[in-house]
Amino acid sequence: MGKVTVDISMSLDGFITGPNASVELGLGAGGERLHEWLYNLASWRERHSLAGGETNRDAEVLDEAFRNVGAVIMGRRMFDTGEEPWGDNPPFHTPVFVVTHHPRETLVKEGGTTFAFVTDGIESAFQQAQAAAGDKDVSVAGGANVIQQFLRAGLLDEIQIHIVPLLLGDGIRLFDHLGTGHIELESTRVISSPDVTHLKFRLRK
Amino acid sequence: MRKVVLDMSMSLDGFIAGPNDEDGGLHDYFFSPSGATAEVIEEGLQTTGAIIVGRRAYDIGAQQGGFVDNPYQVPTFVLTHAVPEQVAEGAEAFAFVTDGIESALQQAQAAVGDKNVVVGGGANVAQQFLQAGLIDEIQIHLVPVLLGDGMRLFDHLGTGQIELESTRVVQGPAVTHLQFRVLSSRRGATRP
Repeated sequence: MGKVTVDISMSLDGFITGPNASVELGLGAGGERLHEWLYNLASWRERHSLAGGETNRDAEVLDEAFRNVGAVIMGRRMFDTGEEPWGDNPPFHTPVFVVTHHPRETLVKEGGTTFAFVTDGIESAFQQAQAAAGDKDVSVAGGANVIQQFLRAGLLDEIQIHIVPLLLGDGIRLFDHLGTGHIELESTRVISSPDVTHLKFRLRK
Repeated sequence: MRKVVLDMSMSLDGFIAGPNDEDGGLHDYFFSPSGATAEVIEEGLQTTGAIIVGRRAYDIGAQQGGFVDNPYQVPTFVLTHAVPEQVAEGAEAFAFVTDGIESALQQAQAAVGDKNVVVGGGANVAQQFLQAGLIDEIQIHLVPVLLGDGMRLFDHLGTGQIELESTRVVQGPAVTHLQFRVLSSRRGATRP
């Protein structure tokens, strides 16, 4: 079985969106700044069916994060925000399991992405994702709420945070509502580039 | 030098202390430094000319006898509304500043020579300095733990975005040292 991973960009002050995030403005006011480091990377562009881009250390970090993913889990709000911009060939290229209260028919997209809507909780989504992923990793893509649920349930093996040199001041906090028990992590890798610092952690189970 | 540096240990989820002001193990690395961490700490000791802290940080330090054997033998300025009647052991030379952060900063700068002024906490004092655009550099010693609750460093900033530049990243055995230049500092606005 593969690992259960989180891979996400975060401001130094802990936000994964700017203020006033909505379905129309998924990253909130000024939140695009969190993902700027991605847009010129060849590995990111390829997944988004775009040509060109740089192959540098950041691109390698990203490519490595994607390469071994066999299935993705996300929350309904993240899906609703991304459905239209992702278009016909979404950047996942694997089965995606959307955790939601509202059922919907499975969507089969181009490029290997499917969206299945799981209405019986994160454990069910998790089991289905693991079955779909086989030996490969399960990636919990977001949003904050779903990631926090996985953290509290002790289901994550690894977290990689791309820390962007920015204080957003407000937005959706990644690490919130975790309860008061310490969760110990082990720093396994630190890679620094001018635009972003990649911090990888293993969780001690 | 003569920078104003915000220097804090912080959990990955942004806390500089756990609930009830407990340390949460955030300073363990400081008391048994090794490898690259020892170098970062040594550099901090060499470049610190004066320290500014808030009253709460002072009270917590006093409670824990933290000023006895204080490695930072430099002028220390405590921001407070009222001067304490009794001063903690080891803190006899501390100056208690009752007229605000700009006053504390001026007094600290007069004392540093060509070293740095370090704002050492707590969160409230850090936020005031950041909001006033008075911080040139941020040093975060990032500890690999999620505390879940406690005192958040970056809260109530209400400043809109503050752009930073990553200037150094050092991986220590038990902590990652992140250094940033503040690009929108009021003090260094024309720096290239």
